[in-house]
Amino acid sequence: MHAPDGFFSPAVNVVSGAVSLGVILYSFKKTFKNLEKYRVYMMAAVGAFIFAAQMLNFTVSAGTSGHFLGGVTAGIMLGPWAGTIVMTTVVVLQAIIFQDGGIIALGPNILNMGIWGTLIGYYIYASLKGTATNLKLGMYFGAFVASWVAVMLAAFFCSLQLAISGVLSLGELLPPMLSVHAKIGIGEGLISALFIFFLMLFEPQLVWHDVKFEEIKV
Amino acid sequence: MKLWIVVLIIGIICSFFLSPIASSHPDGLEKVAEDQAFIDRGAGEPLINSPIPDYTMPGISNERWATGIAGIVGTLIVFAVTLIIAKIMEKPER
Repeated sequence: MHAPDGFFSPAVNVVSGAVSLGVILYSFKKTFKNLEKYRVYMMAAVGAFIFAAQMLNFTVSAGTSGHFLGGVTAGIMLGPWAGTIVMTTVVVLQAIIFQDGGIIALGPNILNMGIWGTLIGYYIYASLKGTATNLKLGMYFGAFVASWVAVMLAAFFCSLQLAISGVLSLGELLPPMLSVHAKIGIGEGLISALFIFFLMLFEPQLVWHDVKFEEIKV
Repeated sequence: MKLWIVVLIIGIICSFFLSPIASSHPDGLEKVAEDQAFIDRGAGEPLINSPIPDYTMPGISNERWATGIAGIVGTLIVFAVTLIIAKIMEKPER
């Protein structure tokens, strides 16, 4: 999903970049001098994990792979604001150090891969996790569904940005983009849910939650 | 063991041991770009010279090692940079 420079028109880069920048600045404002001490190292480790997991492309159909994005996972672990900062850091470093995704295309790439998942994905997760009879099950279910939706949103907005850039029409872009990412989203959902499941075995209090910890029942 | 260490170790395992065996097929966007013949739009000269282009450590001829080492280096760089940002964000002690 890392678009190289040249995929998007200057107008799309500028507008998407402005939206990304606005969300990033707001995230900094919400997080600045507000990150609990015990989350400092966790934030760095989540960034490292997301970077590493993004390298693991898995085959989804003949000749096509997909990889984890991690926005929902970052949101679940750190909350949407610190999560956005982590995702932005990962996408920026991928572009600078690994030439994965363009430099001018950072605005749309951060928006697609970092922001839809941590903001919209996180709120889907947060609203779904309480619907199950058991909060833990609700968390895994919420993480899976939110991750799938986040990948589909990323594919949708990427298609929209390409269409506005004059590459192809939305009608030509959406069917292939959404059908392949519907499969990639299942991988994203499984990885997110598994990761949360694994961490809940160790220290559930480190998973960000807006409900009281005592409400988490086994 | 602290949980963040566990998470970092999972990251290191993924980036060093698993990334060399990851699928090398184009990802969803690349595949659509190839099929719909707009992949060339991204073929221009890169704006900056990345030190480790395409997750392949320069100077290492063995492909698996080049990918694995690029992965572990990247994982540690992301950890370090995010840690600096997180330290700046840290809530001061009262």
